[in-house]
Amino acid sequence: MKLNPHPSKIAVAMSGGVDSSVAAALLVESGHRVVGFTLKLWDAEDEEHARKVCCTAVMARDAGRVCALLGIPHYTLDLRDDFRREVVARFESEYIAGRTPNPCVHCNSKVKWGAMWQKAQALGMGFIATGHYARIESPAGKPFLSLKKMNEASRNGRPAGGTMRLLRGIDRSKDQSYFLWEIPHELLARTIFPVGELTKHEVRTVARRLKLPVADKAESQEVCFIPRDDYRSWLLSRRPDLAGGNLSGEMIDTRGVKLADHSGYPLFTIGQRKGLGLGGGRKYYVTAIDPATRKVHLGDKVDLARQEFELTDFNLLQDFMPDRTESLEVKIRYRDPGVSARVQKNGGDKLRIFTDEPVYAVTPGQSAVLYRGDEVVAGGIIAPR
Amino acid sequence: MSRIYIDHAATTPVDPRVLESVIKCLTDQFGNPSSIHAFGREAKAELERARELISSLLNCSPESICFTSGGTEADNLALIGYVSGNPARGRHIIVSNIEHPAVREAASELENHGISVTRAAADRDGVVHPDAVEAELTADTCLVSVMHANNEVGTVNDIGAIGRMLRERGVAFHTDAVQTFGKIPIDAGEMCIDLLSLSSHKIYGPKGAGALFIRDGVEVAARHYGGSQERGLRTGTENLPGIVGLGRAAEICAGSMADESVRLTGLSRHLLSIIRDNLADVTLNGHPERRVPGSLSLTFEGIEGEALLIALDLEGIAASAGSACSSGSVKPSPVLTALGMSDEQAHSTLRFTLGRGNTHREIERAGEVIVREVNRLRAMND
Repeated sequence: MKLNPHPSKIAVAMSGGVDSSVAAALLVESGHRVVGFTLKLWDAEDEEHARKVCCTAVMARDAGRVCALLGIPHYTLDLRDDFRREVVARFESEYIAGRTPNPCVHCNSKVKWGAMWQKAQALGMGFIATGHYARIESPAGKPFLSLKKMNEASRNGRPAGGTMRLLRGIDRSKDQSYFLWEIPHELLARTIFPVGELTKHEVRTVARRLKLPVADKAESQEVCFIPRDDYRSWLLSRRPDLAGGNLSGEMIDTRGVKLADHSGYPLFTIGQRKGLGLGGGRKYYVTAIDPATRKVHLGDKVDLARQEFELTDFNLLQDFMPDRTESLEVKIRYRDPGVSARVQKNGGDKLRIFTDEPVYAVTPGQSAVLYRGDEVVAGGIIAPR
Repeated sequence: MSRIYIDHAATTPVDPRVLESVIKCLTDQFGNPSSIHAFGREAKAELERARELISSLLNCSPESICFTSGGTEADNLALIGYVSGNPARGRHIIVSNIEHPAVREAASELENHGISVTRAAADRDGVVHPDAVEAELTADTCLVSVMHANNEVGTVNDIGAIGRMLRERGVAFHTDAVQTFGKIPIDAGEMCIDLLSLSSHKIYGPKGAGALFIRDGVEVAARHYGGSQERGLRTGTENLPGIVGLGRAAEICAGSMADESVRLTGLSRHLLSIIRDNLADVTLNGHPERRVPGSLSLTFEGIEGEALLIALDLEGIAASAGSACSSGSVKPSPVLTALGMSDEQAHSTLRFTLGRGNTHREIERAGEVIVREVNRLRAMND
């Protein structure tokens, strides 16, 4: 990491996992003043769940051990109210609205770069760092944190000169830039991603070299507040109306013929093929969900193809003209390889995306992220048709 | 950066004189006090010496001191041990609504087993009045537990008045004196106390040792089985180094109680005046006069207690919000809620508890930093 030590303190969000632990360690190695924060976001239901996903006690214990080893302070911040309001409530209401949400996107922008950053600032921190695989660069193409620029940023309380850029992490297979599109642009100058320049393999190597207790810890892959990643059971337990069948309705094909009944439209997602309860034979895909009529539309794979869709609630991270002239790349889900596309503004509050080839299962509620090469230029929420 | 510790209610550093006696015990007096040989007898002598030192601070007989692993165990032994040991005396107990979690949860556990529990209310200053207790007495009441001083706000109760009232009624009286033993004079006889809990690590002794005073004639059922130590009430080979440390710590307290009390009261007043002279909207919680010397519970309007604690820690100043036992959860303290504070006020409350090692200079610096950090946090919230 080519950073010069800076007088400001850096707040690192630490989950006790290897990525955020190595992020903190690299900053400490470079001589920065680092403070580790574990975020209490949710109360886990049982110890088994607690070990695999986000239980604060386990996270704080592991992060605490790493901080003790690094010789830096460690605190736990209770952000349960913010998380419940900005992430969990929204997750639930999106499903009820017939959409498929990406809670991690809003956790980043509203909780980490929101409530956590506010508290960190109040405690005198100048920067926020996480273990995300992503990069921040200044327009000159260098990591922005030259000593001079950092001093400037800290003194003026404003982004260091020039527009900061959010880039994919070096390790394409771990790149998490997809989840970061909603970070307010002005906060990019206060953000550091120490592991974005490394591959996952290199990160684990650093962890072992530093003898971090979490070097061989298993990855957490699930949504942190959903036990066993079973969002259906979670929704059912939180919404008695759903369990009681108030959101049930019909499953219909492209001609409008009813194929079966379903027990609740929020339990489906666009592109879903399994678990439709239709028995063997013909393969059907969920092509649309209509909360107003409670109908779940089914069709063939070809019915899932689209080349145009809109984004609402978008965030522009870069100056670019959404006038269809520039060819960008769009990803409509995290694991999407991406296709080339053009963008046009539609009214004041929407972006219209035109893909060069068909994309399948364009899912309302999911994030679509636009790249110019490695750089994230914009992101937004896919709107219903 | 030099550090300033003002969280003595959470725990205290071991006094060097105590450390000396503990090391001596670990090295020279390692025998098992129950052995008949010379090693055992020497160890036994140390055990009994510690017992006497404790009992003289309570003005009671040494036989009434039962050593435990600390205040929490003593509280549990008192409540659960007394109720189990006296089934004929009734199935109703009274505890105050501002007790330490050890008493609070022992009472809840008794409730789960069919004992009815009434929580007598403290007033807004944290004082539990004898009348408030008396009003809850029934013919079936067998035990009352009211702490001598509250660990969160520092208010001291007139346990003598409560004890005398209960002795007349024939109801047993337990008091959690963890925050007052060694700091305020306690006469177990005069105050009509039947059971009293105390802890080593609050009085500059090592962690892991405490005691339960049990007045002669009071029955308590054992909760540990397997030997005859402590008259069968708390069996198991004694933690002699801890107990010797506790005894020495008590001895040191006895010799300095009056002077230290004056000194700490003066220091905490000074800290309070630095804060009040420079900050508006700061409230002192608890009784204005009847407090544990050196204890300040302060509500700083307009800031989050958690943020202030972290900010102070980053400056090397150690304090706490509510009791140490409940930190890590950010529900408002039930004690502060019971005293009538709103959730917001409770979340803006910090506890500063001064102790033996604090100097005037330290308090000046602490006051300065507190003022500065509160101002900064208030400005950020605007």
